[in-house]
Formats: sequence, structure tokens, C-alpha cells
Amino acid sequence: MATIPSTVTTQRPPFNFDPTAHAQELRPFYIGANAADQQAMLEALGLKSLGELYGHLPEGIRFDGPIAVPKVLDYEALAKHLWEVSLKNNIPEVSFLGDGLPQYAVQDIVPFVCGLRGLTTAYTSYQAEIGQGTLQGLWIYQCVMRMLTGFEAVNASLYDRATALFEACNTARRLMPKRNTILIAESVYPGDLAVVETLARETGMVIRRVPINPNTGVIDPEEVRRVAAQVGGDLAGIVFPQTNSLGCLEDVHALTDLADELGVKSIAVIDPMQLATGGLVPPAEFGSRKQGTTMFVGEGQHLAIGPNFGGPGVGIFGIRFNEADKLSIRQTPGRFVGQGKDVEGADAHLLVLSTREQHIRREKATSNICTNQAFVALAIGASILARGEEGMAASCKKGHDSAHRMADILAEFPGVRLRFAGAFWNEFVLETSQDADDLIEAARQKGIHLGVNVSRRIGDGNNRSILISFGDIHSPDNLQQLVLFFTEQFGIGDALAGPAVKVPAVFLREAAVGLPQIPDAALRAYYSALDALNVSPDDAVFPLGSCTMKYNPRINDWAAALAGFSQAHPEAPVADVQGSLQVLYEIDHWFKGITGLAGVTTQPVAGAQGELVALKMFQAYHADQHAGEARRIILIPHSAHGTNPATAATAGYDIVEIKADATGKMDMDHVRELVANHGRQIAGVMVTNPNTSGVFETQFKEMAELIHGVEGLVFMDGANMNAIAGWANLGAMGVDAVHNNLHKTWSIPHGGGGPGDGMVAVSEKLVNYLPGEQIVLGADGIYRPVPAEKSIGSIHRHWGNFAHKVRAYAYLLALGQEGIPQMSGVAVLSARYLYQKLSQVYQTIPVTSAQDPVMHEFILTLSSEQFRAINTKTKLTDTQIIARMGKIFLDFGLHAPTVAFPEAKGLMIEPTESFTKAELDRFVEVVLAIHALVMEHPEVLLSAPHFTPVRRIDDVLANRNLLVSAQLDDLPVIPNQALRIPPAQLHQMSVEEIAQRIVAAHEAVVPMAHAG
Amino acid sequence: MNLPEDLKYSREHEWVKSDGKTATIGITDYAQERLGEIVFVELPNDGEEFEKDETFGVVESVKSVNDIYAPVSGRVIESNDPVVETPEILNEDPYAEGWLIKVELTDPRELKDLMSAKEYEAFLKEEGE
Repeated sequence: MATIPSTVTTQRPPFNFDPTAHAQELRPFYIGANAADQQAMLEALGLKSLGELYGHLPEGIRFDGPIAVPKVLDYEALAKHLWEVSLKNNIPEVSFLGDGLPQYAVQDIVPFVCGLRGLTTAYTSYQAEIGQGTLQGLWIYQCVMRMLTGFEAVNASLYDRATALFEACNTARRLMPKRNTILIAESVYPGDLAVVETLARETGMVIRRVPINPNTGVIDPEEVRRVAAQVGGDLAGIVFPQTNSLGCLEDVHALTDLADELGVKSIAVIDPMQLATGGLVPPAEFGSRKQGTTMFVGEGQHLAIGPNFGGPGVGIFGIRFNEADKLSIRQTPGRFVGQGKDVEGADAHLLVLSTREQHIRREKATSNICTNQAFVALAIGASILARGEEGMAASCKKGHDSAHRMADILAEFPGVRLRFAGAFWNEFVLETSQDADDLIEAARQKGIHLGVNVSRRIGDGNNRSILISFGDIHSPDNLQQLVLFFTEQFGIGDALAGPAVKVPAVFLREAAVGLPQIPDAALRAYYSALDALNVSPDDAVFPLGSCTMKYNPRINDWAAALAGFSQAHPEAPVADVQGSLQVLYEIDHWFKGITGLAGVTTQPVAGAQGELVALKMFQAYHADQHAGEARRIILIPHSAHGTNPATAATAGYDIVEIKADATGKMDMDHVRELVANHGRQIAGVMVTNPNTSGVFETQFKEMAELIHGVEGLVFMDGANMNAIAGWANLGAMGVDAVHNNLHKTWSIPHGGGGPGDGMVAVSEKLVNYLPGEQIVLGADGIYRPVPAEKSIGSIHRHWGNFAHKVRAYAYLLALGQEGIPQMSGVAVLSARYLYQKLSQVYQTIPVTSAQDPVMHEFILTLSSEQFRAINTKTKLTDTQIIARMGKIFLDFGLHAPTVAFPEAKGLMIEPTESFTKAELDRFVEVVLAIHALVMEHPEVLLSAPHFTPVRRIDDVLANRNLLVSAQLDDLPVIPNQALRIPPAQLHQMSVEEIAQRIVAAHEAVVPMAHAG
Repeated sequence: MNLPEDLKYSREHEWVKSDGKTATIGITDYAQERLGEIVFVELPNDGEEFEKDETFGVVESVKSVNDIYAPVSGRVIESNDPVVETPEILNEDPYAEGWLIKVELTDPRELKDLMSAKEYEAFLKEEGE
């Protein structure tokens, strides 16, 4: 393969941290408990080996020998290997690739915040009192997006532009009941359109494309009117871009007016970078009356981070929320951060409007999406503040100016012309006398990624059109190189400049955005202060059940940031991204080994999306194999997480619940009854294993056989893989599809709520239906992408959250075939050890028998007498008592266990394998002390938490008086209430001392507490 | 538990006050207490019609959602806008200030299917609530 000039240095970059300074980083397999610790814990449980923890798994579903993943690499060999793979990507000096992922400079603040572990490793801020760092970071994102777009309600981000668009179409349908058709301008990015069409299938949503006019490169509003007339009363909304996939500016005013005239919803697709001061008109002012569109969506990845081979992206989603429209927001998906007050009246932030979401509304939720791209959204806020008003305007202008200057020059070369005469902003299409693929390859040989071949999008039958994109990264020299390349290819141009294309004033922004200008040092100090407001699994057991809060190795982040990976553009020629394709190829293979299944897709960017991909494959399989059958039913156990029914509903299925037996597991008699009653109406089943209570469903295989008996399919929710990875063979269990949360089991950081990752593995039956493309390795040693024969389509515009694949790839190599079962084995051992100590004092749910021992997590509760005693003194209900007990954990410098899920009166604890026995013993001491404290001093529940940066936040007030954005003139104030004690300080105190301080703090804030 | 004698009650915890032609509908004291502090109420527009047992509105606390089912069929003649603006009224005074909608009955015979205060009280006990 030809090597091209590359900008990546041949010197391996040093670690941006000191591995020896972090005890967890260099431990074998990142496991906290060493051999002696493990021995001591096994002895405490009366066991001899980790294998005995899996003794209750039925014969035939356990792996016989080592799983098919590579052998472990030591730390130095790992770093060397990762570096070498990254070097297989050629990063050219000059790139004009954009295509919806344009290239703007990564601000220095981004690597800085990427190093703030309190922000990168935190969980979603459901416990808002110790999540103010993430919440304030997301608040800033919502505010700056409001300022750029004019939309009052921009949610805290969705996966990417494509899914944001699908969700907007669904929102339009909810706002226009009983209407199902959405018109989409074919000039949106094809990668997005493919995702929307894949997701829409079998949901009742009808997508009608409106074609591009090949003469103008834009949509004719009259054509929209014509198609709308055909659709008639079923039309719910119209989707159109501002800058389209050919770089052309659509007539956003005419299209917005038309939607209003037809009485339907309008959805604009925008790029916030083009909306800075001096840039394009914001979507809230589209239309002849500046009335604005109903919703807008956009991609945010390039606002903060490099191309990263296509992900993680950020889906920006906005809707109006003002005096004229207070209700539409309730039909939207995703998380919103609101501003409210704590009990002392201090400003505080929290997640609001939660009742729309799957964890409360289940199959009636507005979407199955649970996560957001929290950390990248936070980094976007930081980047926009780092550029400030002037920097945003300058970057926006530079892309425009470079594009217009180059358009003028390049169009003068013989045989070269601007394909379209209309207005554009920072990208345009050139048509040349050469074959577009040949020209792109010729440029590649000169170290230039010239652009994207868009000939097929135009559909004029030739193959000569290339989309060339400009950002703020292009130096005068880069532009000169482009001109030189054209000179070499096309000879000396006509020196006479042609008529310059100008953007009409009506398409330009009028008022300035008004972003604040914050000095760099102040911004860094601010984000460092946010970092200190969160808690991290770096510092102590992070007991959040069902979330697998393990240690996130630092070397993974170092690898993902290597220039070879982070600067690779997903539209780059295949020859230049062999390193990225190798990562995808190998990780695919390893996940086949881990699951015992036949095929893998890396596209899904979150667990919920992985579930959805699986069900879309079920639909395609049945349509193909069982044509004419109406397979409408998905069976879901009662104990399932809300995402499962929400996903089944999003996919377009009806849901039938499987009852639980006395132990909380699936009631097999009921499964038999359902199979007998519904037979071939059953499309499949969704079962979490181990289940949401942390108990292994030992009859999973029998259940799978019953479902297979009616030719249904079996989805296993892999949320709890951390308990069984390397031990249980899912193929042998009868699984047809499983998702793996890379952010749980496979060590990628939670980012305060995302980006996550949800790779899916499938059985032989479903391999032909996988979405996107699979990587094959040719006899010539070259990796190439190939679509599946009967693919369901596409679920991501590119390869999913690629940077996360690099992290998981690094983790798998650090564990190897020996480390994976050790990892899960010690996770279960740690949980079983805690359970043995804590169940002596606490009640547990379910009351487990010897047949169903707890796996990697377990649920504590109080006895009814204890609830009653506390209620007598505090008037708190049982569920309030549990929620407030969670707040007491915060006072010990910890995160809370999972409260109210899966049991309303439960505290679910999952320690993971990351902690030493000493850390686990301290945790036991804390949890026992909390029991003693609430029994002796139940009144402390009324004022908890005491030592957090803000006191308990009034979520009722915040939800009654919703505030989801504001004009940002300066940085928000860092909360720091008088009683605050930082977690690091709490970890130095004895448990007894903290308990005493809690009682004292309660008396200080509630002086009359003992009056009665 | 406050259960006014002059009202009729449904199994979905709504109350109805009717003159035989029109009816005022709200949620019971028990319902508001079980929901906790109410943060959002959505009500239908005037003129909307619904059948008995159809949902006509939503009441939400911070962490739970309750659809409100029509205890009788009817056409909306008035919605209680102050409750939408100030949802806490529903917690404070569910039977008077906290009424939700007034409807013109389409089938007054349905009133007979509703429970008296005594019957509703027994129903709550039976439900173990």
C-alpha cells in the first residue's frame, strides 16, 4: 500500500499522567484485591476458588477452556502496540473532508477537561448533590446552545445528529396525533437519512423523501408543496437542512413558511458553528416573520473534539419553551438540566422533567434513550467559552472566507467549475474533467484529503463532483497546497477571477450572539472547581448497583487520544485508516470470543441503542424468514429495567410481561403459558441475565428453547455482563443477540452520563442482517468494510463511538483470556463478601436461597418494624426513608447505592472488582454505621445530606418552575455551602467521627429537632 | 382520609359531582397523597370529547406519572386553568379549588356505576390501601 506523507510524529507521545502515581493503574487486570485479599475473602465465604462462585450455573453453558481473545500484554507492550496500530492510520497534513463532520481546531481546554477525572469518570447526576460538576457543565452547554440557536430548550444532548433527527420526527408525530408522515429533504446527510429510515421501519412512521434539484443543488419548496399535497392529512412534519449535503444553503425561510402554511411541524438541521456572530441566521429566526422552526437538530462533535473516526458524536436537539409554548417540551426525548435551589436557597442544578423518560414511563416514554453524550457536551460548552464571542465569530468567518476564496480560485482552472451557482457557507462542490475517485486518490498521494465524492447524491449520472469543506484549521500554506495540487492536475488557470458567490443578507444572522469572553486561566480554574464537585470511582467504592462503576484505566484515554486515532476522519480513503479498521476488526473478533456468538456490530453507541438494533434485526429476520406472519409480541420479564419495554415500543412492538416467581426470577410456568397462548405471534424475548436483582436466571436456556420452539428470537440484555464474562457461553445459552455496555463491563468512563457504547453480538441466524458494515481482512493484508447481505440498514452515520472502541480494545489487551474471568470472578467475590457482612444487619431482597446466590450485586432494605420506627419519628414514607438513606452515603464521601430500582424500598450495591479488601472493609464499616445512625438518630434523614457542595435540592420547586437555559454573561457560581467537607477529607476520618459529625451537623441546621 | 359524602367516586380515584346534566371531575384526596407533591397537570381543551375510561389528562409528581381516566363520558365545557398554573392547589384542596374539568354528560346513566363515599372507602380498604 502506498504510504503518503503523514503528520504523525515517529516519536511515541509520553503518557500525560504518571502510571506509578495511581495504584489502580498498574495492578494486574486492574483488579483491586490482590491474591492475599482474594484468598481471605474466599475463606470468609468458605470457598476455595473463584470457580465455586459459578457452581450454580447449569452444565453446558459454561466455557470449557480459555475464551478466544488474545493473551495479556504487559503495560509497556500494551502502550507500544496501541501506538503502532495508531500509526497504521495516515493522517495527512491537509484535509478538506467535512461532510457533516467539518474540521475545526480542538481548543486547549478540551485535553485539559479530558484529564479531570471527577468529570470523566462520574455517573449520571441523579444524585445531584454530588453531581454539580457535571450538571453545571451541561447547564453551560444548554445555555450556549440557546444563545447560538435562539431555542430556549436544548436538551443535554442525544447520541448524534442522526438519532436526534429520528427523535425529532417522533416528537413531531406526538405533537400531531394520528399523523405519521414526515417529509425529509434528500439534501440532509445521507448517513443521517439512512439511520432515520432504518429506525422508522415497522414503527408506523412514514418517511417521504423530497429529491434534490440537480441543477440548483437544493430542494425546491414547490416540490415540497407538491409532495405534501400527495400526503395530505397524514403529514406531521417537514425536515430540511440549512447547509445541505452539497454545501448549498437551502431556502430556510420559504421552507419554514411552507410548513406553517400547511399547519405541520418544521425541523431544521443546522451546524452551530455556522451560527456564530457574523454567520448564518439561527433556526429560531427562520421564516419570513422570523417565527422560527418547531425544532432543530445538529451535530456537535466538531465543536469540541477531532473526527475520531466518526465518534463519539453529539446530537443537539432543541425545541421552543416560552410563554407561547410551554407544553411541547414534554413530548421531547432526552435529559434536561434545570436550575433550582437547595434547601438553603442556594442556586443548584438538577435533572428535571424525568417523567418523560424510560426509567419512569417505561413503554410510554418519549424515547428509549437513557444516556446522553454528557462528557462531550460538557466539553462543547468549555470549547465555546474558550473561543468566546470573538473566537466563535473568527472560526465561523475563517471557514467561510477560506471556502469562498478557494471557490473563486479553483473554479478558474481549466476543466473545473463550481457545480452549483447558489450560496454556500464553508463548503462547496467542484465538478472537474477528471473522475472524482481518481482525483481524490491523486490528492491522497500528495498528502491531501481532498474531499468527498458526492456525484451519486447529485444523481446527474457522472462521477466528477467533489465536496470540499473548510474549517478554522486551514493555514494559508494549506490553501496554497490545494491550489498547487490543482495547478499540477489542471494546468495554469485563467487569472481572471469570476463573479464571487455571496451569501444573501436574508440568510445572515442580524444580532450578535453575545457569548462571554472568559480568560483561559479563569476557565481552567472553573472546570477544575467543577471537577471537585463530583465523586469518582478513583477515590472509593462507588456502590451504584446495575451501573458497574469500575476503575477506568488512564492508558485507555491516552490511547484514544493518540493523533493517529483521534485525527482520522471517517470519510478518509480506506487505505489511510487501516489502523482504525484493524481495531474494529479485532474487537469484533474478541467479542465473538467473549459471547460465544457468530457476528458483531460496533455501531450502537449506547446500551439502549444496542437493544434497539437487536430488535430491528428481529424484525428483519422475521420479515425475511417468516413472511406473512404477524409477529408483534416481545416478552419481557416483570423485573426488567424500563429501557427494555421502552425499546420494544420504540421498535414498534407490543409488550407482554413475564411474571416473576417467588425468588424474583422468571416464572417458567408463565413462560410456557405465554408461548402456548401466543405461539408464532412472538417475535422474541428480552431478558437481562443476571437479572436486575443480581440473580442468575438458571433456566435461561430452557426459556430460550421454548422461544426457539416457536421460531422466536432471544435477546439477552448484557447490562450485567460484569458478573459472567469469561464464564458463561451465551451461544450455548441460546442467545441470538446481546448488547455489551462498554461503559460498564469494558471499562470506558461514564462521562457523567455518556457517551456510552453498546456493541451487539448475534447468533448465526442474524449475521446477515447486521447494520452498517463489517470489516474483512483480505489475503493482501488490507482491511475493508463490507455491508451484510440483508442488512437492516444503518444505525450510526459511521462506526459508532470509535474512540470508545479504542478504550475497550486497550482494556481487553490488558486483561487477555486469563484476566477476563478473573475480573468478573473478583467482581462477584467482592459482592458476595460484602453481602455476607451486610446481610447480618440489613434485610435483603429477594431473600436468596443457596440455589440462587447473589452474583455481582445485591439489594439491602430495612425490616417493616424498622421502617415503622423511623416513620414514627420522621413522618417519612418507606421510599423516602430509602432515598434519604442514599443521601447519608453522600455524607460519608461516597456515591449512593442505586435507590428505588429495581425495588422501591431497596438499596442496590455493586462493588465491582476494582477495590482492595481494605477498601471493601471500610465500605462495610460505613454501611453498618449508616444502619446504626438511622436507627438511633432517624432525624438526620430529614436534613441529609450535610457535607455536600449543595444541600438537598428542592426538586419539586425546580420541576414546578422549569428553567432549562439562560443568557450566560459569566461563569455560574461554584456552590460551596458552609458545612461542606470534601470527600478526600472524609476518607481520612474514622467512620465513627463522620457519624458523630452528621448528628452534630443535623443539630446545627435544625436546632429544634429534639424539641419534640 | 377526606371523602365528602356528596361526591361519587371511581376505581381510578377520581371524584364526580353532578347535577345529572353536567359534571365536575377531580382526583381524590387519596390519589393526590399517593402521588406526592404534584408538579405538573395537563388538561384537555374545551370542546374535546371522550368516552368513559379514556384518558383525558395527566398528573405528575417529580418521579411518577398518572394518567387521569374519564369516570364518565362527556364533552369538556371548562378546564381549571389555575390548577395548570399552580399544581400545588391539587395537593392542598383536591375537592374544591383543585377540580380539574367540567363536562356535559353524554350518558348520565353512567353515574350509577360510580361509588358512594362509603363504597369508595371500602374499596380502598379492600385494595389494601
